[in-house]
Amino acid sequence: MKIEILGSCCSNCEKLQRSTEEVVKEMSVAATVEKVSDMQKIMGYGVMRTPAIVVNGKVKAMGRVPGKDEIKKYIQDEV
Amino acid sequence: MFSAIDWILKQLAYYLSYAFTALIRAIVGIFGLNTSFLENERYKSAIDFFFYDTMKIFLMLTVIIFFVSIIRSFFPPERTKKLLGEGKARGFLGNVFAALLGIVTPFCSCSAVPVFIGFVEAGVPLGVTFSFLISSPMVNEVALVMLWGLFGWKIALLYIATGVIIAIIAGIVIGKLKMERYVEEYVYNIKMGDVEIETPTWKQRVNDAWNYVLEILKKIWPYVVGGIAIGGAMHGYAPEGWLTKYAGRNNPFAVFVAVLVGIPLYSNAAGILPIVSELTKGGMAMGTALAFMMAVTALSLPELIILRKVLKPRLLGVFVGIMAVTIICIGYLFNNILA
Repeated sequence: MKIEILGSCCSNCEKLQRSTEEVVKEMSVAATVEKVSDMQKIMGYGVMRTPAIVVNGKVKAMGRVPGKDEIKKYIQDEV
Repeated sequence: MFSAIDWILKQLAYYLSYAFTALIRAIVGIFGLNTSFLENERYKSAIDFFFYDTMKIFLMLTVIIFFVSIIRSFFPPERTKKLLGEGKARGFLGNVFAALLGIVTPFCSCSAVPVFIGFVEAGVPLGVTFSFLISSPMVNEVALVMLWGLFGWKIALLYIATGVIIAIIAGIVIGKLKMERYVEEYVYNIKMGDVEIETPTWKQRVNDAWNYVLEILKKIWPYVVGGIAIGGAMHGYAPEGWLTKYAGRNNPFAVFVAVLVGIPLYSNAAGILPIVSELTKGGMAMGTALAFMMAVTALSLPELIILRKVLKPRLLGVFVGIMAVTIICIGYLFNNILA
């Protein structure tokens, strides 16, 4: 599974990345968490608000930092 | 209801300042120093002012930011972009529409670049995009609360109306200057994907709004407390004659200098306003104070650095220039109509 965290400058992006990595570890799923700051890629997903979380190419949330239970659900939906 | 809350706050402030003074007295007493300054009327009013204003501002921040975020959850920038890009509002109307949408669209300066690119890609004219980019950070809930709490709702409303007017004017001027080629080329090459806008449930809206309140409070509380503490310390001590002479209505350079000083300052509207409020009580003209405030919120060095990623220096310079001139004009206008 491929998880991408879209965002370039906010501390919120780091927060989202950290909690996503924690969730992945807790669920022990095989997933890569990658930070994407390239504007072309971010806009390619249609996202204008950062941070955003993309799982397997699908935008799950944007413009906010979802809670861990939400992130868990995004991952479960894609398993 | 408001007067009842106000009464409670005043009582609380009274007891808190009483307790605080007792604490200071005890500490100073240990060192055997003179405590007579605690009986000073100036000290008493300053400490009362500090506790009362701090509680009032934090209460207002919590309530207003919460409701503003709920309203904003209905206006994501994706929707705004669509509305503006479809070209239903052309020309002047487009700028008006964009400036008004700027008030309700949530926006942090980190998103300035993707929002700008998204608007341009959707075919929103450059001038209209600027109207949005100007009003969105300028008319923000923190500035609104601080102005309302410290200067009253009339000044707060005046600030919002002026912010919208400045955004409309500056957007129209930038549109007329035909500066499209001073946008970085890569912006025009970006193709935006489609994303489904998730419609949040009410539970999510409330949850997000509450998280946003906490996030903002965590970020600005030191500035609010610091600003009010300095304002409180100045309470009754501000050099009245001096301020009236140099920052009053009769000094033609006051607005000019206030705007120049305000441009590099950033986001500490929360910390600066309590001090500005004391300055106006001491004789600083209201138009000068508002112009200063606008320069602080609408033009800031960090935001300009972010905008440089999409704008060539020339357009960035024009943007700063137009904003500075418009804000200075508004300052002079208000100094002449606000008594």
